[in-house]
Amino acid sequence: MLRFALKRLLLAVPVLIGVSLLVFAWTRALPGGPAQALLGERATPAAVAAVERNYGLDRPILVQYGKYMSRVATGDLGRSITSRRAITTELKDRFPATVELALSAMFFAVAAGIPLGVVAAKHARKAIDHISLVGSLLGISMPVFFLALILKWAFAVKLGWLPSIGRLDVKLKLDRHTNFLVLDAIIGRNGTALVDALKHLVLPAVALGTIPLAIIARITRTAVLEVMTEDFVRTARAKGMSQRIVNRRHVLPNALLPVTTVIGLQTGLLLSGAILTETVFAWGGMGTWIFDAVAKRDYAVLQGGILFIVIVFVIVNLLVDIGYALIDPRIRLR
Amino acid sequence: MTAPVPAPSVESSGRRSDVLLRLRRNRGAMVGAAIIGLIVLAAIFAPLIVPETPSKTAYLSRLDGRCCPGSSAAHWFGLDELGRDVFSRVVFGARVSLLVAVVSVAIGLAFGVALGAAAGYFGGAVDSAIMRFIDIMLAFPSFLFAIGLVALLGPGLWQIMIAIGVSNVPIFARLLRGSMLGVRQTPYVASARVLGLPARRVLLVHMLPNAISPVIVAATLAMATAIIETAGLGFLGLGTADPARPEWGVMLANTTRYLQTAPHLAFFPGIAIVITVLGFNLLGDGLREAIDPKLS
Amino acid sequence: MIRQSRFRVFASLLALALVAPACSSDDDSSSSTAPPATNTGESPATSAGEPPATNAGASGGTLVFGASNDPRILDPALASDGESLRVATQIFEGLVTTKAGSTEIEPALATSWSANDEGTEWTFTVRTGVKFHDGTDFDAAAVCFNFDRWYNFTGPLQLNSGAYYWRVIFGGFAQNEPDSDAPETSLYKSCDAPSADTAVISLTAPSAAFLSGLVLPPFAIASPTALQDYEADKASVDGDGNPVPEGTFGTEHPIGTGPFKFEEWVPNDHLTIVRNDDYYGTPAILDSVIFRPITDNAARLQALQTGEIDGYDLVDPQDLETISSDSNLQLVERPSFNVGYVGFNQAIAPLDNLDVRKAIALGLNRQAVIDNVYSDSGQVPLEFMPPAVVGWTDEVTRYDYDLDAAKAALAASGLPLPVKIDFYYPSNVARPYMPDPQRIAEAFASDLDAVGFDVTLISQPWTPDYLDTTLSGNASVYLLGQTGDFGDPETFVGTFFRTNSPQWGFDDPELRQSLEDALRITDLDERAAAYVEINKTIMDILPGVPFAHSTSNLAFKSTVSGYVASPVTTESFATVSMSG
Repeated sequence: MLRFALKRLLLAVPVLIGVSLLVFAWTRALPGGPAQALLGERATPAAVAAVERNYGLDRPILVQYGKYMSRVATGDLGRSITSRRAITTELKDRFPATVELALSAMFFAVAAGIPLGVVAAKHARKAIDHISLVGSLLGISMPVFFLALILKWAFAVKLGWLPSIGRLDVKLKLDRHTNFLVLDAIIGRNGTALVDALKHLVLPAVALGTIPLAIIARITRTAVLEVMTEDFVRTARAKGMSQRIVNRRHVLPNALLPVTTVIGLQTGLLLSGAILTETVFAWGGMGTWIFDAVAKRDYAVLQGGILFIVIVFVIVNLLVDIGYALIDPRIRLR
Repeated sequence: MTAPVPAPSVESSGRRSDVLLRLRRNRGAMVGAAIIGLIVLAAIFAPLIVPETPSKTAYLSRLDGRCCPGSSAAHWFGLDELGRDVFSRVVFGARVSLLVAVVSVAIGLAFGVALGAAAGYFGGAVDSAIMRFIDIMLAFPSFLFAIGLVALLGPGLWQIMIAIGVSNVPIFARLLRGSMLGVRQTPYVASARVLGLPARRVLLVHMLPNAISPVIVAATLAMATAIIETAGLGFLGLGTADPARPEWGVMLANTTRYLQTAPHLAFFPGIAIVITVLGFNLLGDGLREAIDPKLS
Repeated sequence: MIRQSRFRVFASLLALALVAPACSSDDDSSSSTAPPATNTGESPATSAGEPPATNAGASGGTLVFGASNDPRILDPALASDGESLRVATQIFEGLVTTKAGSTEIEPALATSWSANDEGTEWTFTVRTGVKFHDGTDFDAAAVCFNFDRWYNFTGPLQLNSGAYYWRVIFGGFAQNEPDSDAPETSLYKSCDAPSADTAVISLTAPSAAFLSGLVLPPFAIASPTALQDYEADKASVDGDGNPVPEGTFGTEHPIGTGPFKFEEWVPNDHLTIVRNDDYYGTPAILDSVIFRPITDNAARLQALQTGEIDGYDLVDPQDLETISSDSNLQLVERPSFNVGYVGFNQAIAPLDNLDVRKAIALGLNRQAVIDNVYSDSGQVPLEFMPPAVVGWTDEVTRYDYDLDAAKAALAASGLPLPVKIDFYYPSNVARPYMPDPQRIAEAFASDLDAVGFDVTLISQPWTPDYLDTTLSGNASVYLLGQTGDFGDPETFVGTFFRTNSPQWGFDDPELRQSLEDALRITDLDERAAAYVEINKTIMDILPGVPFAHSTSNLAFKSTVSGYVASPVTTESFATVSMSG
């Protein structure tokens, strides 16, 4: 087991190096540069040259890469050109915001998706099943930004039930130790803040979580159906076990295997896929940060931010692999 | 990096005719095929169906100072922010979407299948090298990859097709490679190799046809993804800016700001995307079930 | 394996969530100007600060304002983006300011001023008894401290991304960095404080524009104690060559004399300012103002509708009706002080042909764009500066929309039809003078196709691609514009044509000379006459077609009153109150 984990970990290293090189080369290859972005309409060629000299952007690429990596090794990810703050500081602010959103979305997807899938499997091929099938397909087929806007418009603007932007009512005071607002509210025993933070989470989490919801529902349904037709289930029934106990002890645990894999995969993607939802709801997380950085050619943000996301993605996948191997011993032997 | 690939159940997939039979019996798949068929027809016969072939011409004067008039007898889907007929633009949008879907998936398949087949067939060092390369590409979520490529290449239809196509390559490569690995173990292929048949023959005649079915399913679903990703790229301002070639995503992007005053502008292209993507998803799902009925 | 493929594909569908609306209104301050001049060396007798509009029933309260992005830095000397300046305007004050809602100069920290005959020595009488927010005294010495500080900026602070406006008005520094493109001599010579209430600023050359330049927020006076204690000038350079403001003055301790003082800034979340109860003038009515960055325009509108914010700036034209028909909301109009234009690069054929340029000008249905894209909140310009500016005239050559005349002009050019041109416009941006570039460009392209052109539309992201392409002279026909920083023609026609900017692709030494001369004229009537002639000349050369002077709007809840919009966007929240 340990060897398996180590092996996987080692394999991840060249990938990370490759990724950092790729991102670095890409940022430098982008047309234009931070000079134009900073100077805007006043970007005369001379002014641009001056900024580039000052920022060391006219030195050879490998030199720049080398210097960058040596600094990363010491934990210095550089500074954002647009906000002038350290990348690490920005990450501390923005990463928890995105994670909180992603986790809430995943929670919603799982909490609603698994029961839906089970119900659909139980009534396979009947009306409910078909409806849920169409529903989940619709969920996957809708552009997420479209969905987010509609949800916001319906529930925040028209009905006024939920807030439309941000993570917390700006007039509420809350000490942000972790920047996971729900956690901070619990730590600080601040009931109003807790309720408010949760209210702000609802719409973005639903918007972001709809696709995973649809997927999880489908996978659950398939998995449950598959397991239900397995021999050992039939054997258990033949032995006289009630359906319910069979479900609980045999069907569900086995069905959850593929579901867990999906969840693991989706979490990694949710992290990097939250740009849209964040902008629509002015969330202040990683997504918009990185996208704005593309437009403004903020190299440090692009390198640090994308690298960070990829690292998280890699780690999550690693954990999923290990988790999968833990559950299914056959995998380890490969 | 991802969950290991279980072996495909080659035994149950069987003959092509069986697959087609199961497909035809699958209502969802047939609905999907019908939708796609309808959209393809609409795309082909677009100039005949619509009152106003999209061009650079704008008709601001039709707006009368307000944006924007909704459905009317003359303009079934209303007018857009430049006074053009929305119905015409939505129908013509099918052309771009289908084109992008087909071409980008073709690009992805071409390179992905080649890479995956090489890795799967040769195994060993070749496999490792290719898979490392694939792993690096897969470390990026595919849409981020597409954004990165378009940011590099610039906006435009061809750039989008290449970007989405390239971002599909690792997916197909990994899929095919896994599938090939599974097929490789089967007695069918093992005996072919033992018999000393030439490598190319084993590859093309014995391995590929059996390994390809999951790729076909993935390709169908990838078309759905391509359409949504194109819309996403358009939304980001990285889409085709040619007014004569309306694209649903770009239309959606331009009109979310009118959501409160003229929701029909976003509604119709949005629905078009949903229906088309739904069609591909239904078909892809049906294909998967037809190929491997155990999973239904 | 099959399942895995599904995961992959669906998973990538998820990653699709990487999408953001394209129209984030970019609030960067938008002019590259040189000093304007609206005043002679004489100071007007100052009228006492006009009484603010007090709302009888209201006092106190917190107003939440939706900004279009987070400020970059609160040290006004180093700020040039709209949101930083918006906050700085509340906290800091300069020697002079503009009268609320206009471009007229009036006293702020200086109560009166005069200049010597040559216009090289300006004597300011400054207020006494005023304290900075940290309790230290404001006096003439503080004024000189600030001016000297700016003059002595070194290193990366000298870049246009640092002390931009100092360079605009004064040019160079005490010690220009090597390789710097700043002019050798600075307009600034020295500052003396012979007494606590007298500051004398000496210039190296007479300037009619100097005084007007001082209304700009970057020339606000900050507390010298704070500047030193919080190391406002400490900017090291990191390994990449990035200037790193290490002091906390611009991020945690921006200390001025204004009606509001800084309380806290949680980046990307909110920035809070509170009323300065020790303010020397009429105190602000509100208890505090909270700025909340929301980049998406539609999101700002929705936040206003749900009540999560109390107001925001730069309303999208098509939302005007939604807001005005909502009884809970109101619009505040900002007088137009900008110009959007279709620019020509005469170095690229066929734009070198005057008939072609005329054909374009006559063939653009600008009124239709104003009616529909600007929702009528604007007007078709006659020239490259708005009517509010001195030197405007209606006696210029007119190019009213006339399709037949346009076709005739194109025929007169002798070129074979259709004439191909590339029309550039930016994506991912909304400027006050150009709220929807794509719509405008497509409408214009359609108009020109009808004249006999074959237009190819080319769009590029605003920064850096589009600005780079247009400003360095690589775009033949393009959309661009200018918002005036202060009320002087120099900020418009001077900025455009006084130097040889590659974007226009032509060199007219006579025009340039007349603009140089006009800059130096100190008599107001003479200046006006000079600029009238200049405007006539420009519209004959037709270096471009101005297509809009737009009024921008702010939106507030109906319970908010007292906000006075200014054409140069120096707007104070001190007069604002909320009822109910």
